[in-house]
Amino acid sequence: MRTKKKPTSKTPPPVYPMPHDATLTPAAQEDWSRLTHLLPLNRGPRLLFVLVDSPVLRRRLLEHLAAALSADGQTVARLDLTAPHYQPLQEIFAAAEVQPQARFFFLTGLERSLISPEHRLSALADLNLHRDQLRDRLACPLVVWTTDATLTDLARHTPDFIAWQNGIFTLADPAVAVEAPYRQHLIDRFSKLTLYSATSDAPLAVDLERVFVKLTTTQQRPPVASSVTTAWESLGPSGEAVPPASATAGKAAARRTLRSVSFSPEHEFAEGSTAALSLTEALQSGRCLAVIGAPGAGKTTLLHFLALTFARRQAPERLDMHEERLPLFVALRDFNRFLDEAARDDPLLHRDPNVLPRFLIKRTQELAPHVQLSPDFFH
Amino acid sequence: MTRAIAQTPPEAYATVNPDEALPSGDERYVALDKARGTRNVAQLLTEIIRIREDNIGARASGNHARFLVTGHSGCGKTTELYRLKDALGQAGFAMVYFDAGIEFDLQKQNVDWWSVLLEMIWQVDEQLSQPPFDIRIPQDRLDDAVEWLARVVTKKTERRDMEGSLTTEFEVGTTLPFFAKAKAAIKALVKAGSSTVKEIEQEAERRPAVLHDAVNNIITYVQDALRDQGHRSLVIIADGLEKIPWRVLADRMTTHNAVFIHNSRHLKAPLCHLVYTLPLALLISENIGQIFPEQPVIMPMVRVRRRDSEKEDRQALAAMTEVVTRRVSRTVFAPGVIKMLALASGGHIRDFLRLVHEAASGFGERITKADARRAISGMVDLYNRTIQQEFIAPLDYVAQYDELAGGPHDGELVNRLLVLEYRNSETWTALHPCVQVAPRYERAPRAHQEETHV
Repeated sequence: MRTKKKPTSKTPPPVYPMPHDATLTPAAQEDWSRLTHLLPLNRGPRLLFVLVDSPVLRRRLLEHLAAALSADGQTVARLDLTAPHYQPLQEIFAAAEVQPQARFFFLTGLERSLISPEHRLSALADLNLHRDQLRDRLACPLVVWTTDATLTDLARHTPDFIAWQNGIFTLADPAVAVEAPYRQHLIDRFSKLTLYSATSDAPLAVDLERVFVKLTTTQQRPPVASSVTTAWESLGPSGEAVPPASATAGKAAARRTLRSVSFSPEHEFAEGSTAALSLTEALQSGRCLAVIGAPGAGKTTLLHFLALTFARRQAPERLDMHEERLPLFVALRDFNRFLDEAARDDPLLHRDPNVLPRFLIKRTQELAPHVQLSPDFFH
Repeated sequence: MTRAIAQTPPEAYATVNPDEALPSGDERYVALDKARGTRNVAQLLTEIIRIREDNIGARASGNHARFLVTGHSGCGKTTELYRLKDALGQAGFAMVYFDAGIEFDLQKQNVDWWSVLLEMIWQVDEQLSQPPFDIRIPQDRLDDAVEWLARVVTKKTERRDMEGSLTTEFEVGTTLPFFAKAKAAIKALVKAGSSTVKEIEQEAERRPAVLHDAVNNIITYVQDALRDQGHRSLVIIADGLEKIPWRVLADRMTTHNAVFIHNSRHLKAPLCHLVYTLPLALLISENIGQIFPEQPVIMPMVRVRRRDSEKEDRQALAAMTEVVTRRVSRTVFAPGVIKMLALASGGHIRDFLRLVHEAASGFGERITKADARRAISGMVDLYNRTIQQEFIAPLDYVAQYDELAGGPHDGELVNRLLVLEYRNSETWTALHPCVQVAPRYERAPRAHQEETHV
């Protein structure tokens, strides 16, 4: 979690104004100003971090600052690690060696090496064990533009690398800043997969994202009526069979819980079928999905993986889905318990449209008291 | 060289470098041993080594000093080892110093006792061939020392065949001596991550006496040459061994245990005075005092607060103030700022200098308390990120009992500097001050419910 930086007074206007189309929180505006004033004071091998969670804003601010510095005669070398690397530091050194005249070295894409299951351990080891080489192989300050979650990852797993940091600047836009503590809470909550063994007392905790294997799902396609007069039945609130009024309504009804289907002998039906879907196809196939599987099949683990993926904004890389979502994880047994407890105080609870947001706030506070969200965060 | 003392916050920001190990004789150095509650490391080791040397039998087998030096990352170990090297050098000893973090690829290489001993051979040859010693170890002695290695690498038995194979396979110069070719070959194999390195390891494990003899044949020659020149004997300082990554090996031993505990007899084999650095976490978990002849030398934190009370230690704070004022003029700081930063650092020198550096990034004419609070807030944020739920119980234990719980997370707490070691007449452990106020620690639920999977 990001603790609030206490803004100091008397921060002068930035040396280079922000891009006119960038919106930053007041604290982030102050950090931008500090960054523009302090960057020129850094000479020789130094390590600085600029945290911007939004990829679009990150690129915008980086390009703006690089252009402003270059216009001032301060050459900025850039390296974007577009693919994961086993040894990102070595890539940085190699790039720096061919640009010895650079006054600053801006790096992006480091997080890709850390979230790739294949490259992660090696990348972390490279950063932590070879950090001494920064002194000898880097002639100018290295400015790492990355996300807040990546800094947390580095702080935990590369303490020697992070110990060399000479400054951290957080440039958050208001919408992203509000969500950041909650996203980090989800990452903390689901990143470990705990394995229990009959032969050992101590459970084993592994990085879920490192061991997760994307399974293929199958979609059961129910039999389809060939007659216009639908023979589908669905269950009404009291469990009575309710024949739908039309074929269109029948399709809508088929989306509701379908307990049984009875067929009149005069109608013809196609056989039910199954289709294999990738995880991405399954997610894109509809707004509501029910994941069904035997106990221990991995249903909850799948949901944890999805929560992590969207919390980290890694849907494009992991799922080839170009969308951002804020995961809300609800364990129904916890929701049920909350409803029981809340209903004792409020018999009309079922009419409250905000019952789910209330549950989410309460549950988050129970699990992570250090995460401070506004009461209407989930509204 | 006389360094200018920073007179403004921007100068302080630009010049205060928390990561710099001070060379011996640097005017910024402040002796912090009293404030740490210990003897000065460089002075202590110099004294013991001199006594050992001066008493009869120092050169005899088994009577050399073997020291382990440890402390938290960033506490000043390397600075003290530089001073030790200088002090012993001035006392007439021949010093060979190397840093494992530089000489080994700690990521690719499984650094073990045999790689340390092999590195000693390279470093002794390279460093003592320089002035003022100019010792030329006879080529046949050097070649004999690496013949076993070349045999494993080339799979040849005759020296001539080995040499030819080394030349062609590793593209080393034909005019280089056999010793240099073998050295180039092993370094290339390590860099490439070759499986041959494993074969070398197995050979060393199978016949350790071969490598012991190889090292000591060279060291014995060097010791005699030093005596003939009127010097005192050889001291080897192997720094950076605390950086060996902690891994669990195939036989459930850890890399740290393998080097310092299981194979300690090999590290003690060279017939000279030895100083090794040791991971602090290993010291806490193992009774290493029974394995090495000398008690490990620990560099604890500066004791900014007394153990039994929250009272500040004025002497320690004065020492920390001097650390800063040798770099930055006192007038740059508003009253009370240095003390604020010193207390927030918990006496960890690198953290203290980092706080000074960050506090100097304000824009006033002086570094104010508001600047200090901003810097401290940033450090709290960084430590907050490293606190995970499974650390809460062991951290609570440290907070209550002033010692580590002896559980599986002790190493992590030490390595992440979440806990700091202090010493007075006794050793105790305390939470880093930034951890004490970190939101994850303060507000963590103490009864953790695990979610089950379906």
